[in-house]
Amino acid sequence: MTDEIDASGALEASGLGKKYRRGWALRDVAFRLPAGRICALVGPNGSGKSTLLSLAAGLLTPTTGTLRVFGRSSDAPGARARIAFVAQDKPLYPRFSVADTLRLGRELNPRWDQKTAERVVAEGEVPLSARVGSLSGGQRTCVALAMALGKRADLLLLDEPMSDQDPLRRHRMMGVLMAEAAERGTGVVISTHVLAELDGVCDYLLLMGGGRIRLAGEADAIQAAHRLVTGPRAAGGGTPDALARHTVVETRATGRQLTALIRPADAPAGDGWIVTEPSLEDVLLGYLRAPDAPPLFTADARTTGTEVEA
Amino acid sequence: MVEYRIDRRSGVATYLQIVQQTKQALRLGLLEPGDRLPTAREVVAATAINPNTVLKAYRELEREGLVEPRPGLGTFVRRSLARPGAAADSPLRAELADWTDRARAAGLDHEDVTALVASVLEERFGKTAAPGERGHEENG
Amino acid sequence: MSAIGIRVRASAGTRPRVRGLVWLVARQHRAALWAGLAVVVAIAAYIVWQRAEMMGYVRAHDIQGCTEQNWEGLCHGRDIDPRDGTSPTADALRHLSDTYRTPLLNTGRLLIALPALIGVFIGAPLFARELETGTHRLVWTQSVGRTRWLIAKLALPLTAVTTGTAVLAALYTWWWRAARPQLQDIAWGTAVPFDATGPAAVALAPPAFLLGAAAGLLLRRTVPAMAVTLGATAGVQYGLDALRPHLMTPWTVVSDAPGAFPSIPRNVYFTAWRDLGGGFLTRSGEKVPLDRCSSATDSEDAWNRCLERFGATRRWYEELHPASHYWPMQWTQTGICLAAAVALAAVCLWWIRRGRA
Repeated sequence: MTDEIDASGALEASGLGKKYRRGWALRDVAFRLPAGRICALVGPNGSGKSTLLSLAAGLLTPTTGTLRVFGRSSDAPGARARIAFVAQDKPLYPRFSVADTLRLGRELNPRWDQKTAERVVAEGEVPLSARVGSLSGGQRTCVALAMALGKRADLLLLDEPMSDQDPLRRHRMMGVLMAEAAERGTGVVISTHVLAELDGVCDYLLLMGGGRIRLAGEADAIQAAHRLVTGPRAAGGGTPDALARHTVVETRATGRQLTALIRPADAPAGDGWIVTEPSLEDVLLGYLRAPDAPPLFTADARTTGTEVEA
Repeated sequence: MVEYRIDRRSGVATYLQIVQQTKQALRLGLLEPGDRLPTAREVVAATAINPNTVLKAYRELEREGLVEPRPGLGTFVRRSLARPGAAADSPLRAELADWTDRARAAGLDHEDVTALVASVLEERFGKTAAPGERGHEENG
Repeated sequence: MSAIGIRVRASAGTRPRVRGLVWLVARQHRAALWAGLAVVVAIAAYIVWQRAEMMGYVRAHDIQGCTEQNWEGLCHGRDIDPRDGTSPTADALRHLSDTYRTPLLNTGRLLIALPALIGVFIGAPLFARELETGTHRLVWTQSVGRTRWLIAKLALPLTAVTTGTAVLAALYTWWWRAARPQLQDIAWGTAVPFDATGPAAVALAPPAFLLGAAAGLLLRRTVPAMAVTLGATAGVQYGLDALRPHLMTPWTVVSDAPGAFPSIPRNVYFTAWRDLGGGFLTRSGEKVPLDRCSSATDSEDAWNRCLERFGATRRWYEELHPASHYWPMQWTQTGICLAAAVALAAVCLWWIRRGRA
């Protein structure tokens, strides 16, 4: 794994917004993704994941703010060669054969790596002579991934790449992807709404909701910043006094018991409270259930424009 | 060469699973000084986990002085954890086998024996066993 | 041209390979290219065959340069308009006209329909289909820029359709020039043959193609883009037809009475594009076009009274374009078409640079 240190980070957004005719898809987004990370971009459908990825791929132009890719504007010519993008619907020419599709990559990319591309296609058991239009969804994804990996980009943007893969091919494709990341230090952003898909894969996390970033940073740090506490419910309902000095993300009451996901201000002690460390999934579920919880950015996800929350 | 098996449902951090499985292999003599650990690329290609996790595990093993990276070549085992007493043909093992036979003859089943051994281990060694150690089957 | 990636690399022993975007565009439109080639070859073969047949007949009956409309009624000294009955020469001329006029005109009609077909079936889907199915994102996320992609997408088919049209226009012009002396009654300024011959015929293809391409780029939908292109190219050709008489100032020729021969050489009169307008002159030389009295056609009397009211004399004037106007008018129309093509290409470039597509 090569240590690619890019002071500006792979992605850096500030004041980023995108408005479609039907309204704002992204608003006031600011975050930083260091180079060489495997980042999960999580959020419910319509939360702005695809818009953010399309902006990073240079397919869309921001309405407000900027999105820098390795320090350069995302629609600058130099940025294009450093980024590979697999869109959710995996656009490919249906009348091309798989071999023709790879040749397209070879003809249009100076850094093209035919061997890697062919290996990915072989790993997915897709014949080179097959017409793209005759492939199954999973096989198409495999060809799209081969295109992205053959490009030898420094950042791969994958929009729900595994949604139509069977478990075996998903494992293989993920293995190929991680091997590439291991060998070349390639950063990866994978959007998904099924976090379990990325368990053990991602080390960085972006949680989106309503066109904004709600959690950003190292997966470990985000997990470590939260506690799951269980204790007695307050008499009149509402947040018990014992939790008042912490940032409460979400509370759930069962009978006389209350379970809360909190970001502790200090040691979250208190008589009668059981404190455990939540799993990453617990944290994400907590935030997804509580759309109004305050956002959290860990230190290396902050840009100068990011309001400091944690 | 070891092959890591990652159990995503075990609740044990992935990097810790790699550390523990490496140590296990060192203890059982499956890895010996001078052996090369699989590269991060090889591990992630087979397990589809984050390469940084593998590197973190190797750094942990390096910190404990078990392995050393040789630039351009890979990560190599520096010292073994195998002790004479833990080998498959050691007298200690034979004694334990005898004792297990006796426990069985006394009517204890597998779970009873495991509980008994665990409680004695806890009493004598203190609470050190990490949860990840549970899942490994006996070699021998 | 390296800006759009034409790099022809001849490696030892193999034929040159097209590379980059040129390869992509050629590969994408492979089927269309072969289909287009087949159409060109078929029409070209038909033209060559028809012309050969026609020329064979003309030579066999020795009627070269003769026409039924000949003022003298003679063909190489033979009578073609005998008072009673008929003559072999007259029969031959009639047969020539009956046999070859319709194929000549219909082939011309087919050729003037080609620009619209090119716009609708090659231009309109060019970008619309990519934008509709999202495949443009595959190319836009490779290492080449959109502007270069757009230029390659436009340049290659443009070259192909222009070449194809040029071949057909040249062949048709060749046929037309051989047929023209015998069929002088066909006005050369009407859409057939004017839009099917000479540089004007070639120059119609680029704007039609680019019109389709621009419509597809802006509308992002294949079928609407095709419909718009069909309407627009038909409109453009109709507009050009209406504009054509005004591309140059027509000549006005005067004769002493309607039907009397005007004061210009006869061959100029007969080879001119006539029927542009006519009427009577007043004593002071002002024109009274016939259609000014078109509402007074109830009786000859009313008509005469109407003309008298305008002060018309019996002196007849007629407006026409002599054959010498053919080439200047061809080049003027060519210039208009190419200017439109440049403007449309600029629209496409501007649109893609703005990142609107």
